[in-house]
Amino acid sequence: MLLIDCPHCGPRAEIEFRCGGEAHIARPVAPEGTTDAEWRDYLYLRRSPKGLHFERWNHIHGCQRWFNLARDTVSDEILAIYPMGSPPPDLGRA
Amino acid sequence: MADQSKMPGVELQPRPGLGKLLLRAADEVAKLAASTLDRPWPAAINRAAGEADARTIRLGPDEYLMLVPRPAVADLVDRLQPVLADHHHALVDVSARFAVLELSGPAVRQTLAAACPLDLHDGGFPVDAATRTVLGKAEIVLDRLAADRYRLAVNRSFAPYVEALLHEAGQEFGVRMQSP
Amino acid sequence: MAEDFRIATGGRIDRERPLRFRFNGMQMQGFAGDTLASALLANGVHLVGRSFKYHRPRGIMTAGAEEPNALLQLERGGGCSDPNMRATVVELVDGLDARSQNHWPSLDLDVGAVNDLLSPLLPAGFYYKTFKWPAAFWKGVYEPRIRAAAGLGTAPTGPDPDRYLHRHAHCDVLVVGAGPAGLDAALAAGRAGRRVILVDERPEFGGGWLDRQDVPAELGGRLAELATLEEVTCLTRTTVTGYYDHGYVVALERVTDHLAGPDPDLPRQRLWRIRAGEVVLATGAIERPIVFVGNDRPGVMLASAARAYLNRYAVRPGTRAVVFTNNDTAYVAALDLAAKGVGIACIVDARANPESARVAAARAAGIRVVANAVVTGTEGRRRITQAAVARLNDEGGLAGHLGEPVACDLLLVSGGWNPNVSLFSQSRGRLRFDEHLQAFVPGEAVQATTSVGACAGDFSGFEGDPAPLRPLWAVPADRQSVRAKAFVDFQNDVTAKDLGLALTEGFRSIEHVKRYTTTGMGTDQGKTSNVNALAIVAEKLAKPVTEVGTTTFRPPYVPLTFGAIVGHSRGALFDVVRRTPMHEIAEARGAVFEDVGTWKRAWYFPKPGEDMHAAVARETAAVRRTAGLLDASTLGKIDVQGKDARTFLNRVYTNAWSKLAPGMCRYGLMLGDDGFVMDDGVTACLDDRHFHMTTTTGGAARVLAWLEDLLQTEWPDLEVYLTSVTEEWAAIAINGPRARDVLAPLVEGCDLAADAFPHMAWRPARIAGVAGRIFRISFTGELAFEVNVPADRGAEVLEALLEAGRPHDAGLYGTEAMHVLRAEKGFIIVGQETDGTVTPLDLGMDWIVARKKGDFIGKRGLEREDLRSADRRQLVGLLTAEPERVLEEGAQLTLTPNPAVPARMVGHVTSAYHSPNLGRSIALALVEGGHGRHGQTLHVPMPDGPSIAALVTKPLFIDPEGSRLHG
Repeated sequence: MLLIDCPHCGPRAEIEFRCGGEAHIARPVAPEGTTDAEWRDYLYLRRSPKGLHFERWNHIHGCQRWFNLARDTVSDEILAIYPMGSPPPDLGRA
Repeated sequence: MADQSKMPGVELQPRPGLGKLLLRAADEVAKLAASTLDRPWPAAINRAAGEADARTIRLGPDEYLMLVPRPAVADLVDRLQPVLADHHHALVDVSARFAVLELSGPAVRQTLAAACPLDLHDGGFPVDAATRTVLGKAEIVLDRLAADRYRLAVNRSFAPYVEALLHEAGQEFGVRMQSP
Repeated sequence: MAEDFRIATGGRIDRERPLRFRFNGMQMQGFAGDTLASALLANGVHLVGRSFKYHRPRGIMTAGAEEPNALLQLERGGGCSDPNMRATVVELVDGLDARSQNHWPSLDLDVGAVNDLLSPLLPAGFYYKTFKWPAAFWKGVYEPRIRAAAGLGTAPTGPDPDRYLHRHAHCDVLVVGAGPAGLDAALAAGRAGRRVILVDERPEFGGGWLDRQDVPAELGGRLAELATLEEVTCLTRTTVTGYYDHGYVVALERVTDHLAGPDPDLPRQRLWRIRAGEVVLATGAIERPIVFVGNDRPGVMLASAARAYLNRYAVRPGTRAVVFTNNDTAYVAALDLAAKGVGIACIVDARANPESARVAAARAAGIRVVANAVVTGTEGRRRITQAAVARLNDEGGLAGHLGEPVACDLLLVSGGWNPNVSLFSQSRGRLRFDEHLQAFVPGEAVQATTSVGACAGDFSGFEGDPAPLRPLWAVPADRQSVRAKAFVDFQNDVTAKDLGLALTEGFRSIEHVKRYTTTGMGTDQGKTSNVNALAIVAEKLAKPVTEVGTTTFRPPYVPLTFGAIVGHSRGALFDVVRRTPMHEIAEARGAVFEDVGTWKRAWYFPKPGEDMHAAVARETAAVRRTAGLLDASTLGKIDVQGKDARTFLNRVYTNAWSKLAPGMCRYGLMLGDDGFVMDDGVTACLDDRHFHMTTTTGGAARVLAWLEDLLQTEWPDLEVYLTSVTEEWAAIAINGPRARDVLAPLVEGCDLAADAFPHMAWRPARIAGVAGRIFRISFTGELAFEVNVPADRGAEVLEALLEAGRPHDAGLYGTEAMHVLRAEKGFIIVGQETDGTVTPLDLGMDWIVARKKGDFIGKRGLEREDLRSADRRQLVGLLTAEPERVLEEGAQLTLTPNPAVPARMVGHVTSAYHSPNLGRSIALALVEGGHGRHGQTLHVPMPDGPSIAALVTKPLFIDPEGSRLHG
């Protein structure tokens, strides 16, 4: 069970959170201008990396705020926690 | 309880007479509310301030839960609404939504620890710490009123589950249910 | 032979507290402080079970959690029993009833032993090769018999009567193991004022010190000091079973298993769920057996185990022992045993020239030491009687026997020591093979983990040195007999030959060899076999151990009861059961309830003598005849406030919200961005910046989370706040031509007349004296009002309404009647007519999609070509040719009757009911190109008869003009 350092609440058990999947997938600003393939990718295409993964998490049973988190999917090490809406930090690794 | 002579390690007391309001407001707007009410106001997230019957808990950057005697809710709303009207806010009466239960006694932390993942040690959760968290399968707001006295707020339909869970978790310490 | 083997003094047992127990029905005696194993040995019992596959007689091999053989069934009465319990860790309790496993008719005379003779037919992986012909025999003959023969113990038949709890705990330092190394680590951290949890699987702290002839005096002082440190929590009888991520460690505390008449308020076991800032592992080391032919007979035991029985439990495990070792530590055991009256026939040392203080002491004590020698075999059916010894030649092969086999009733074995790295490995730490110790030690840690003492490869606290040793994984076999078995994994009956077979068949990775042979896969998780297996495979492949791989340790370290895992979440606490404020009223009126998510909703209200069909028919007819009342409290309600509320609603619903006036409501449909229907509900405008949104019962939490997600992550610039008020309001729907007549007398402050209160309006009002809201909305197509009052007033208001309804014969109706009534009008239920792949156009709800509005969630999705094709499954009504026939929900539809299988399915039934208002059955279905099939007949194939014909119609069966809405 991960220990997640919520930006507002401090370290809390994973069970208080909900993972929202891959981060930084922007909803196209002008959806009407996208092709079916682009819309499909926005809806369904997700990376599944072995290693660094940028994710969005919600502290649903806490402050209920969304934030971003960089996690190594192999070791489960949490490498960074940063605000929703901020770009991913440069962690100097793949 | 098999052993009647066991000192109750946990006492549970429902508090149906409490009214509750949820306030959504950013810092500047929340300050207006605080100064209007002229009562202790929590500065940090996951902190509570005020007496048991005039308590405000800051649950998030822009979320506050206020607890007052039920008859005082209308007055609170009347005082706040004009002040907040021109600012982005939401003030919602949730008096019926939440059921409140108070727990006290020497075994209260061990009892909660059967189903709550929080670090309830003094350092991590001192008096006036308060937060939303989980207790088993229920979402609760936990508020530490005093060294061995906690208040728990839960959506009313989850109250029977929470009470049964606390009885089960506290059985080895002795649980006494007080009438409201 | 009661207590022939008990030493008169010493040990840590309490001779003041004798305990009685039974083994296979025989009455025996032991003492408080005994384990079941030590008590059995004290009674001279060595044969305690039959092995898994070959049903070979087996005895007690170890004195700890690593025991592979002595697995016993503990009967607890009332259909309760614990199978596969390691006798070496079960604390003796007065009245304990233990049975051996895996034999018939008895332990002594086991028919299953024929498997040992048939062993050439039962090598590793035999089930991949044999029992294949004839093919039909597998299911009926072979599999049931193999299944019955598999396993060791018997599962209990009665429900578990005990209680179990969890305990969340937090600490700065978790120390696992309270031997000398662990005690020191805990003291150091505790003295520094840190929060410490110290756990040990045994009833007392002290670890390996308690196996010594003389327990060091320092132990008392350490324990006393620990007791003074307030921030140090000491847990005995607690085994760490899993070391997970981020310092999350799970440990099982046996709270009452050792008590004969425990306090019934205590849980039987407690699962500690610990979050540790750092973990110190002081888990010690486990002695390795040596693999040689006949190494599994009762009486063959690890040297350190014999020493533990001798010193800790005051039991002589035998009268005359041969000691077989490749290192010094076995000499300590030999000397201790000799000092307490056990004859040592000889020490067979595989090392060419063993020289050390201990070896000298043994010789000085008159013990014969045979160097450069090995045990090549044993005799004895239910107990060892002799051991054959042979010399080794320069190449490490056998050089010929040394005289006659040595008579003995005990054979102590030591092949070296394995640091107990299970938990370190679970933490994802990397292991390193230490050439000096010939064992795996902790390498690079991945978490905040420190290993101390023997588990780190530091044997400075040991009596006797495990290294230098002569690596001896398997003694060369001196008999070519196909039945000669040298066991690697005792629990799963895996022999050295099986490992060779796996390699012959082409397996190279140790993970494959492990799975093919099942070595290390028993409940002991290979504690005494993994390293030996790995090394034997390496030897056979002529590769270094590190090239073959390391073995992976996975939790749990020891088996856990289901009860401990489940904790309190069983019975009434298995899940939350949510009841509305009016539940008791429904109950008092005979409601039968159904589960809607975690809610209980009144399903129907049978009167005496009515079955469900009759009750639903009556309720449904009553609503359209006069009126009915429905508890609608479970539906989700969300308070939406802020200057951008309208903008927000426009973005999340498909229709337009800009012009909805305060005092009016509108039905809204919510799509996912994929264009598929997600949820629906009526939303009311309280004022320009304030709306009351409703959702389905099941969708309430999900919709709120979804909307919050959008506001926080997609549109943070919108000024909108959402607050859940689902449980703030009780909701009562009054539907029917007399709805107004029922409600009006109770209402103050609001005129319910049609011109004052149009359809889809809402008004604040007092109902039965309670301030609330009235919405004129209808899910039945009848004149209807929904009353909302604060939840704690819901019951009294419902009572008042029921009283008001009596003269009109208007009573409660349940969810089943509600379903029928809405289906008669073709109203969809999200989750019934939709399944996440249905669009508004599929449902014939084009009218609700506002084409001229700006972007909304789902708009782009709907533009996809696939979502606009004409042959998509579309909502239709179905009328069966035989009007009495009610279709089954989920039934498939075909174009022709009784088609050949596989048949082309063109749709499925989403809802089907008997409609008393129509006097016949109705159904809704999703059918390919449904909008264009009205008037066609389709067919529903049934498994138990001919297919049912059904006419496709518009999905609307009653009052197509909608005039009934106006009463």
